[in-house]
Amino acid sequence: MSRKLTYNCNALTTWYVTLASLVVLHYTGIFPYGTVLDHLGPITTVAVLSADFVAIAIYAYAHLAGEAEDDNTGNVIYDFFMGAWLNPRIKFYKDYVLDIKMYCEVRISWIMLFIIITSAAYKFYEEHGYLSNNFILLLAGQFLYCQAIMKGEDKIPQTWDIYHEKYGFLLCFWNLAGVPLVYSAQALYLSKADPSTIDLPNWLVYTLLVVLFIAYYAWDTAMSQKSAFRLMYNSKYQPRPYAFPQLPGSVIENPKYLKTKAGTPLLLSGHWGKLRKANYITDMTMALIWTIAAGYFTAFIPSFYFLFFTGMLVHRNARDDSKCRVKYGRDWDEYCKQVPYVLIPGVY
Amino acid sequence: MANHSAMEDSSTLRSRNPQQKTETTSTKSTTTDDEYVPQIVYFNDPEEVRLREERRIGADSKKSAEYWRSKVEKRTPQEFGGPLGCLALMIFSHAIVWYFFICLHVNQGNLLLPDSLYPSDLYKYYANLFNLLYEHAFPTVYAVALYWGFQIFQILCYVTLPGFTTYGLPVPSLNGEYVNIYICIYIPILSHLLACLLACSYFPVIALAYPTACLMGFATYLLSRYHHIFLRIINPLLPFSLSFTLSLCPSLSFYYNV
Repeated sequence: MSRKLTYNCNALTTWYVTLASLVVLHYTGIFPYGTVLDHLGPITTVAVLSADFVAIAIYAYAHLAGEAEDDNTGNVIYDFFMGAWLNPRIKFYKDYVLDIKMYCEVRISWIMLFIIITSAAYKFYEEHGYLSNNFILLLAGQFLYCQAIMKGEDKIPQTWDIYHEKYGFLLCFWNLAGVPLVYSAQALYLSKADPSTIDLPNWLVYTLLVVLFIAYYAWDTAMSQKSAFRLMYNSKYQPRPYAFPQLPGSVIENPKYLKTKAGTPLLLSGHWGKLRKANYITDMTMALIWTIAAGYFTAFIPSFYFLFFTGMLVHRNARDDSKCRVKYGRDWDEYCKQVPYVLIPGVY
Repeated sequence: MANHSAMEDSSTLRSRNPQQKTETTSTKSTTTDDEYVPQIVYFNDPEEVRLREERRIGADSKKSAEYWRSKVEKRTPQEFGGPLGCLALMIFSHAIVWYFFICLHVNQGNLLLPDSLYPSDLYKYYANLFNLLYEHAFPTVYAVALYWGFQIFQILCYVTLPGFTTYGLPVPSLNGEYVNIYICIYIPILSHLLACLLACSYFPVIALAYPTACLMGFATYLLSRYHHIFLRIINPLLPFSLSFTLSLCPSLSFYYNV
């Protein structure tokens, strides 16, 4: 049984085509941009029910068509939640294949999120006649984030989600409903809130924009350095020339690394030579800026993302550390000696 | 850690040469646990380059189906607190999406909480939440059309837009096959499309659609030759997906059938 799968991941094109289409649909009057926000309530319910439907359909089909993986546990609830099928895909014609996991994970979640938040911004603009500082900051942050996901699409198949997690309720629900509807909380809050009570002064917005760009730069290059190194180490690296933005320093030419008995090398150059979790602090900074933009903790729900995210990262850091200590043994001690700090250089 | 173990899997498949295997085991036995020497090396180190090349060649040959079957580990229902935890998370996932929406929609982003934990108050609270949702978030045909229209548009984009190949990690359940991935690099097409779309909202559509379609067709063809990219869009759906935005230009299909 030898199957060869082809992923068709053209997120960046899809992203621009979608945005351009929305602009046209708006200006031609077919679909005014604020419509999404007007119908957000019904859309929420439809998205939730659709996610349930898709998850059930995939689970049922996997079992009926014999596509369920051999490593399923046999417990129906657990398998439904964690997924029964590693690579669910629909074949339309020859090799025109829809890979449901990549499609939902990259396209639906993040493009839909961006549509909702820009729709909220448009509503605000329609109502007040201008775009508040908070909204500009938030849109800048979330645009960079979505753009980065589209740009880094070729790195996503090496992640845990695609490689190991089967497509069950967990991924399906959060891709099709959870991410776009929960992460848009800040923008929805801003579109309803009275701007005079939470507006940020100009100097603060400019400062935060600078911090945001620095954090984004560090985050983007850190992730890029790591995945480029991993691909180069496996002789699978391909440069990605046209994707915007091309940041200097995203590929280390001659990285230093620690060879381990467990097999996986541990990178010691670039951002990863300074911090063991170089992406955490930058990600947290960006989340914090989104929250500051959305009323700096005056309401709970727009702040939820940052609080939840920080808690999750701190917890995951502890879990990773104990896992790696078991896996790498002495190599991990050496690695901790080489890279002593986890989150903040010189502090922790 | 997630990525580490995924990597480990990909690196274990390289030691196929029996000689190489004995070599590595012999070096392992010489360095006992007492005399740990960290191996910190540089990527361009000639020895590292040689080892990588060896691994690369080793990876090209296919492992047997048995090897990969042995790599498929049986999972146990332990993560997320087992089946009951999963059930709770499923309910929680639904609740949080609806609850966040209603709090943001009617309560300025503050939490809606019951007055007290007495059963009568709790009942009132849940009835109130339900009524709010019924009023503000009851599904409509229009919402279904929007959501699934968006999905269908995205599916069309996914299936039809062109890309180049890159590789994922070998998947044990697929006998270690690398999964090919197509990535789109067609920024020139995009700029054309964008320009055309913007123009379309001011000028008659057909007058612009045809020349742009011709230009795009040729640009695509030339670029694919220039970058030695196999053009993967001999596709009956393409004209339709573009027509969604370009308002029907059937001549496109001719240029894409290069």
